[in-house]
Amino acid sequence: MENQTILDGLDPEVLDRMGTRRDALRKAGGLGLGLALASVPLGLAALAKGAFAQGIPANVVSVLNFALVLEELEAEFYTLGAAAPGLIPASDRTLFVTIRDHERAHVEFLRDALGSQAVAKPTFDFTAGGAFSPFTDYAQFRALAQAFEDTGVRAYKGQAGNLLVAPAILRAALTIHSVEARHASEVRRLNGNFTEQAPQKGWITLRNRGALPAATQPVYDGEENLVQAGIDISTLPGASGTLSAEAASESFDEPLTRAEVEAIVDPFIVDPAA
Amino acid sequence: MSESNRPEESRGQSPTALERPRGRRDFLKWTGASAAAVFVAACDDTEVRTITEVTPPDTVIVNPPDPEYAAVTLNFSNNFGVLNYAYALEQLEAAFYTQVVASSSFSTTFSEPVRRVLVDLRDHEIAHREFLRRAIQALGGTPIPGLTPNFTSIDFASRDSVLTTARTFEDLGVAAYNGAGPLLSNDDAGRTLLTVAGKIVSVEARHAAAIRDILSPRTSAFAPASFDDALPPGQVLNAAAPFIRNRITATNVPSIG
Repeated sequence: MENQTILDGLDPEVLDRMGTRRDALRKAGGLGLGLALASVPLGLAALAKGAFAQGIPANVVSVLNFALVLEELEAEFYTLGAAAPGLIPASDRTLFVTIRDHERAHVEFLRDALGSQAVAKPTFDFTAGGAFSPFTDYAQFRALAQAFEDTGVRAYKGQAGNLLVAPAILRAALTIHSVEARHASEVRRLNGNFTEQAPQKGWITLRNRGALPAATQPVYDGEENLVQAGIDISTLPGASGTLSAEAASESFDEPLTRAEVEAIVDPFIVDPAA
Repeated sequence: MSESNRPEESRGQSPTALERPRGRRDFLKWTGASAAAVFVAACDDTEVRTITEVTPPDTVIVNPPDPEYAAVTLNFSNNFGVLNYAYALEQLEAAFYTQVVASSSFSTTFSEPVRRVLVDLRDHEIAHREFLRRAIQALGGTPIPGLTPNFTSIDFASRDSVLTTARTFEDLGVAAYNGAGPLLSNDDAGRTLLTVAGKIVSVEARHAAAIRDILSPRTSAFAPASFDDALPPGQVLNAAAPFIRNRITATNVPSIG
């Protein structure tokens, strides 16, 4: 029973009865799919037993496994960081322990959702072959934390469209996505000593990586985009005059493709999941 | 007001008066699945008659009708309803931060770093508002009219009042987008809009974390849970209603968001 999850036991007959997407949403609601943050895992667990959960496309499984690897990476990074003696000063400990616990919860949630279809946890190397020493150098730890969080936000965003076929799963993914953005904001502001000035604000200004090492530039490439759905945001009226390019870029986070994200995190993965 | 909640009486009825008003002044009430509030209550000396407006289970109405402010309808049966819903919330946020920054006490109420945050938030919300209006038009939809905010409950000279209101708006925005994303159509248009909504919601979440951290520095407040809320439109509109003058009717609202 342990492996009986939302992705197992397809029942096409039940699927046929599901009708429209909106009906499916209502039925998911009828199964007690949660609204509140605390009930999201329970919600998907309830879904697991429900008709709507049957027949989730392989593409969605793949997206969830992609997310799982990123969450495993983050969870282990903060777990090792929090356990490293003398690394995180007392003033910042709550901040990073909070993030660690969230990433662990995300891992647990995704593992529960995927069940037997979850990939194994990869083996990570947070030195990236000797380039970094995040667990003895706090500045590097903070820098990598920022890079991982900003990457995580972009990664979930890039996959959202692939989850529209499964609205309940999409909803759960969105509730993780915005938490990653909260983390990113906090770490970014910490890295700017809470002076709230570019390039270390809670939001990303153009493609500016701030004080981060050059190796992290791919995390920010593309964030300078000013055009959304064909509309150049920097031509729109602001409080006085038109919006600046800086404000226009900050106002919208940009997605990364799966390949782009994998290229960013690959140096930290020595033994990919089977 | 004691008679204000008797939804069992109205369930399944068509949205017409259950009883014709007879008295010169009638006891008006609004009930229904949306649990809308009583807007007008006045009793005739001799008899009480009830007019009940029954809203279908998938309709949500907030705020009393007021001829001074345009009534707004959001139809969630299509993507434009979702976009206009976002546009409504961005209007509210943009108006709020515009007033915050324009306040004569802005520079004395907030430290310089916090002022930078609030100015940024103003600019970002204006960007979202202006973008959404144009995007709705460009896609062939009709943007809702400009909403009139009601900020009478906010003391713009009070750091705590402004920041706690900002926290409410940002958290609400995050929950609203998270709840609305899955309502977009499962096709190319829906996927495109979902990506754009995703670009906005993570910025709202960055805002929420910053405001929360300013209120409770370096605590766990910036991200109070492992999973953010994803609220259905009805809950969001009811939460936003006290800050808006216009009556808003949302139709075809899914029971979950």
